[in-house]
Parts: sequence; C-alpha cells; structure tokens
Amino acid sequence: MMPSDIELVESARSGDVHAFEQLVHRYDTNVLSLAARFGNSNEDAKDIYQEVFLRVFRNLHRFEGRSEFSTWLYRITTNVCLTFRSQKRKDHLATSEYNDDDHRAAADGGPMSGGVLRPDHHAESREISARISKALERLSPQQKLVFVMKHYEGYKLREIARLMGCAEGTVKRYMFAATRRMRVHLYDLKEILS
Amino acid sequence: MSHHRWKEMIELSMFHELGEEKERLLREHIAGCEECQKEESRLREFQRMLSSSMPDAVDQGLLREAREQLHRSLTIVQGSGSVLDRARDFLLGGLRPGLRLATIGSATFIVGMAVSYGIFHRAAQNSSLQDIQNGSIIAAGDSRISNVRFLNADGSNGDVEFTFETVRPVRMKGNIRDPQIEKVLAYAILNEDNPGVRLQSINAVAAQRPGDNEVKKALISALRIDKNAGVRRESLRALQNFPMDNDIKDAILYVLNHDGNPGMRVAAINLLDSLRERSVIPNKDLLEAFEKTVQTDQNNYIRLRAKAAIEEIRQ
Repeated sequence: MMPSDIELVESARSGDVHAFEQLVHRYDTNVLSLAARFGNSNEDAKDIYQEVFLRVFRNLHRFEGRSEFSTWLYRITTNVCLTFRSQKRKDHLATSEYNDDDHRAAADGGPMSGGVLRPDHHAESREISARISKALERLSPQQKLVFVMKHYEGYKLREIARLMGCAEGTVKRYMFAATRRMRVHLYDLKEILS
Repeated sequence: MSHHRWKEMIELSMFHELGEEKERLLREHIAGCEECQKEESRLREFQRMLSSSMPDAVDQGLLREAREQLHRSLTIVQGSGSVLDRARDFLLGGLRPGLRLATIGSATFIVGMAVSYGIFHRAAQNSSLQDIQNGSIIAAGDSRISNVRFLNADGSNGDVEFTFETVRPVRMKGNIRDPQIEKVLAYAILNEDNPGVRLQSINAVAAQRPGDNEVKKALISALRIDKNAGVRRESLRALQNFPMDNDIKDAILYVLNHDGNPGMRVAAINLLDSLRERSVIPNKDLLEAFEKTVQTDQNNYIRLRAKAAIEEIRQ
C-alpha cells in the first residue's frame, strides 16, 4: 500500500530523504510544468523547481497538516514564482516598466525577438511561442502567474486566489489586465496564423 | 451595466467561471449586442491562438535533470550526519534556503581552514582568512579530538604517548554585506572545489547586492573561467546587480564570443539586448560583438538573434 502524503512528510521530517523524494515525485511534474511556463527558459524552470522543493524540505516542520500537502506545496510554488520573477525583473529593461505603453510594445518584437524559445517541432508554432513568451514577459509577475495558471494550467480562479493568498476579485483583475495586455501585444499574430 | 463589465463577463464565461444566473444574463445581452458578439468572437480567436501554441507537457529530460539537481542539493543540505553536518544544521537554522546553502559552503571552508590551523599551529597562509579568524564574527567552538593513536600505552609509570587530531568547529555569523563575509564568499566562489558551493556562494552575494569590489572580481573571474556552466550562468546573473562598468561589459562580451556553452551565449545575448535598450553599453561595442557572433557562432539561433540585434541597432 502506498504511503500517504502525511506519512511521507513524517518520515521526511525525521530525516528520511528517500521519503521526501517520493513525495517530490508525486507532485513535481506539476511544479515543473508551472515553473517551465512561468520561467523564460529551462534553466529558470529548474531554478524554480529547486527553490520550491528546498524550501519545502527546510520548512517541513512547519507543515501542520491543516491543508493538503499539495495545496501547501503549490502555495510555496506560487510564492517562489512571484519572488523569482521579481528578482529577474531587474534584468529586463522595458519589461520592468508596468506602464501602458502597449502599442509600442506590440509594434516591436519580430519573429525571433522573443526570449528563449520553448521546444517545439513546428517553426510556426515556435515563432508564436516566442512571441507569447515575450508578451508574457511584459506582464507584472502577478498578472503573468494568473495568466499562466488560468490559460495553461487550467486552475479555477478561486484556487489561484487561495494559492496566491489574495481575494478572488484581485485574481480576476490580474486576469483581465493580463488578457487585455496580451491581446494588444499579440494583435498581429492573426496574420501569422492565417 | 457597461460594455467593459460585459466584456469581463465574456472572459469569465469562456472559463466557465460565471454562475448560472450571470451566464443567462450575459447570453441575453450578447444576443442583442453586436459589440459584445464581436468581442466574444475575438476572445475565442485569441484563445484558439494560445491553444495552438500551448507549450508541450513537461519534458522528461528536463524533469530528470531537475530531479538530479535537487537530489544533489538535498545531499548537501541533509549531509551524512557528521559533526560537520550537524554544525551546518546548527548554523543554518534561521536562514533562507539560498542563503543557507551559501553559508554551508562558507562554513565548510572555514572549518577546513580552522582544522589546519589547529593541528599544525602555524600561521594561515591565506592572509584574508587570517584576518577573518582574528575578527569578532568568528566564534570557535569546543575542539573535537579524533583519531587517537597510542605510541606508548604502557601506563606502569604513568607516562603515555599518543598522537591525535583536533577539529575545531567555527561558527561565522554576520551580514552578507560584511566585508569579511564577502571576502570568504569571494574566496569560495573562486576556490571551492564543489560547484554546488560555488553556486550557492554566488547566489548569496547576488541576493544582497554587495558593494565589494572583490566579490565583483570573483564573479567576473567565475564568469570567464569557471568550468561549470551553471556557475558561470549564476555569475552572469549576479553581476547584473552591480553598476555596469567596463570590466563587467567586457566579461559579458567575452561570454558572447568565447563561451563554449550555447546556453551561456544566449544568456549573454539576451542581457546585451536588454542593456542595449537601456543604452548602458555603447552601440559601437555591441555592433562589433554581434557582428563577430554572426560571423563565427555555430549556433543558428544565436546568429539570428545577433543579426536581429544588429538590425535594431542600425535602425
């Protein structure tokens, strides 16, 4: 019989790294998926993944079992994403300005102007992915996280709110703003698609 | 209700996030509102476009790499239960994970130096460390005696002769901006054998925007010569916390044109691209570097990025 999350947490707390890794392997695909879509590269994704699970490992003694382990884990994941993003923002120029200069933003960015391309077999799709990556980079960390969790990970708004520790109305505002900005940034992609 | 509000409801509806009653109201409104019909159509088109480029599921190779990396870090963090590891746990109690890992490296290094000092009773060869050991931020713990070997165990006359080794745990505590702490971390970045520790030392200094020139020099050296790409990558990131100067600029350009790892060159070109937009580096220097990249880099993507950057500079 498979040990429960709580049993694994207990074992991990007492220093059983193998138990901790079992726990990791139950959920790490989801964590890496969010990290990969939130980050700009595989390196970013691995950094986020590593930071999440090291933070979990170090704070296992604080997990009181009042929520599911997975909820606690994903909450840490969202926090790491937001922190990670805000640290990275220093490195990105125009993206660090949350102004509404959307038309300028939409005007630049040629086919290869995106960030690191995500693996993909089709050139067209890759080009679109690059544009989307670049557009995502122009969102605030909160907007980006909500957009990724909603559009790519399929979370419900109330789940996102719970994980981010804010009101559902706030999440909605992030989502509306993110969608609006993404549409402006990507308005010309229709031509590529057609 | 304003169109703005209806449009937000359309978006919620697409994600099935509207209640039944609001959904019904929205449908009634859309049936008679051409603008909202168009908005719904445009939003659906946008969604289709996003779906068409939906990133693949998590790559198994990436997952494997991430797990291996985590396993290595856990090994470092967890340790094997030795005195040194217990000292680590003691030292790292209240620190953030990144800082803890960095501190592990520093502490390990310092303990090593203290052992040498304790055993041989001679001056440390490294003057920087000697300075640190004399400083108030170091507290020596009780010595641990090990490896006792009797040369003469005959106690009939009360005399014994033996050799032993002492290990003196050393605790170092201080702010990351403290020059002595920075000195240790700079040393660790350049000299620590374990790349994980080098990486953690870099992360520690990067998190706090150190002002120490020695740290900057260490990061530049690591960026240029460290054999581990991860360490070089983190050095590049850490250097972005420093005010841009010629040394840093040259190091980034060096990476672009000489680093053997394509990922590093991509990171360099991304950084240079952002610096270009901020006019931090003269266009002349950038043009020269990008042109060299176009001519010599074997990676198609990097050449394309460099070409695009050249075009943007010339516009």
